[in-house]
Amino acid sequence: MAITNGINVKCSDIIGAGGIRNVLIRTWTAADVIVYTNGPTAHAISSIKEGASNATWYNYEFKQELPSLTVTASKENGSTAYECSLNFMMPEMDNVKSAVLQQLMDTCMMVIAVGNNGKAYVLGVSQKYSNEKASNRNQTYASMTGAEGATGAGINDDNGWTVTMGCKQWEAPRIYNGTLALYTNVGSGTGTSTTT
Amino acid sequence: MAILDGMAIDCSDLQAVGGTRFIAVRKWGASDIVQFNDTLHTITLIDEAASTGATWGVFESRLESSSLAITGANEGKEFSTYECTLSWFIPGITTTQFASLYDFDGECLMAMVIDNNDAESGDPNPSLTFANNKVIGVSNTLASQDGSNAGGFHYTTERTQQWCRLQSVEGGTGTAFSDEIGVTVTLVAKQYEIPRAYIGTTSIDANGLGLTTGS
Repeated sequence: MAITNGINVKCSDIIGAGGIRNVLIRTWTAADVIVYTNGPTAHAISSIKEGASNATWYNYEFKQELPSLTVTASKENGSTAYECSLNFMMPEMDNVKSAVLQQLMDTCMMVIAVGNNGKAYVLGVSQKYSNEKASNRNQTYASMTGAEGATGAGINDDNGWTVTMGCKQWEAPRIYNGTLALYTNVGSGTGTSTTT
Repeated sequence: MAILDGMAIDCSDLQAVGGTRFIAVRKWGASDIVQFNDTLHTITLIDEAASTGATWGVFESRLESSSLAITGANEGKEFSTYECTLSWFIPGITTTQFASLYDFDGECLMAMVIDNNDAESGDPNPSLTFANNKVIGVSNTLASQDGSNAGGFHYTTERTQQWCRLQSVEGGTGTAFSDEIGVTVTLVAKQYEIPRAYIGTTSIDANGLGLTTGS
């Protein structure tokens, strides 16, 4: 693609806070409908739905100021691959955390990491080289690429699981700019969110 | 043929990406009709019968695991021999997959390989065209053929001796839990011309597993 736009940097870009505010994860389904937005100033996803219904995401809370998203792009010949990695720390290794890890092990996922700057970064949902007829046959989904559990040694050490969600895709992670409703079942213990 | 021009290499050529977008395979049929454009070195029509489009099966593979290799050799004769090898990896080893692969056994095949260059590498929009394709097992140089069909050569499975065939299925379960389980399928075609591009009509069906060429 030819270059048609430069970029401006505004005050709000500079004062945007680092770190991650929310981590949302869901499993790809055969009914998923994704609306991509492409253009000179947009590389986004405007809607993620499960058929005609809102898509449900599960909230994974974590210890603050520990999660981070890193994206590393590398180009070989004409192909540029983006390795995306999101890690977050679930404090205290207990029964519930282990059960959650079991669920993450063998499923094809998509992830939204909402930054403290308010931007919602989507991993595992990309249009480049996606299956043209069946969204769930997209092979660029996210998976749990690592989990490290540690009790620590000292009494004041952390005890918990650090989970790494990764994906390889051939476009930069997109911003979700559709409607994202966080904690739609607040108070129920296992929070869920929705995209529409 | 006189050499009238050389060739240029521009930026877009250098941005071309590797791998295949998908692979379509079909069996040769006794009534197949194929039209060639020898000036452009293309195939303009592949029909199952007069005015009847040809149906292909679309075989998906794991991303970045499929390739087409072409090896041409000339031994001082007026023709060159092109060995075309198409291989792709199918993860899983399920009964359904094996049943599908078993259809290749002992059959005379043609295969179409669509590569990833129908859209620019920086353009995330999937291309709606399949222009960057190569067909193996369908050639018009030294092929046995029956030219009785008006408008195109009429091939029969028995007489065109340059079809594509299943060469190997290699793979297995692996041993460790983290090993790959799956098979690499290899189709080969020996022909006496470089694989042609199919430039006729192409359409994909709703579930993405069937492709139709021609009428």
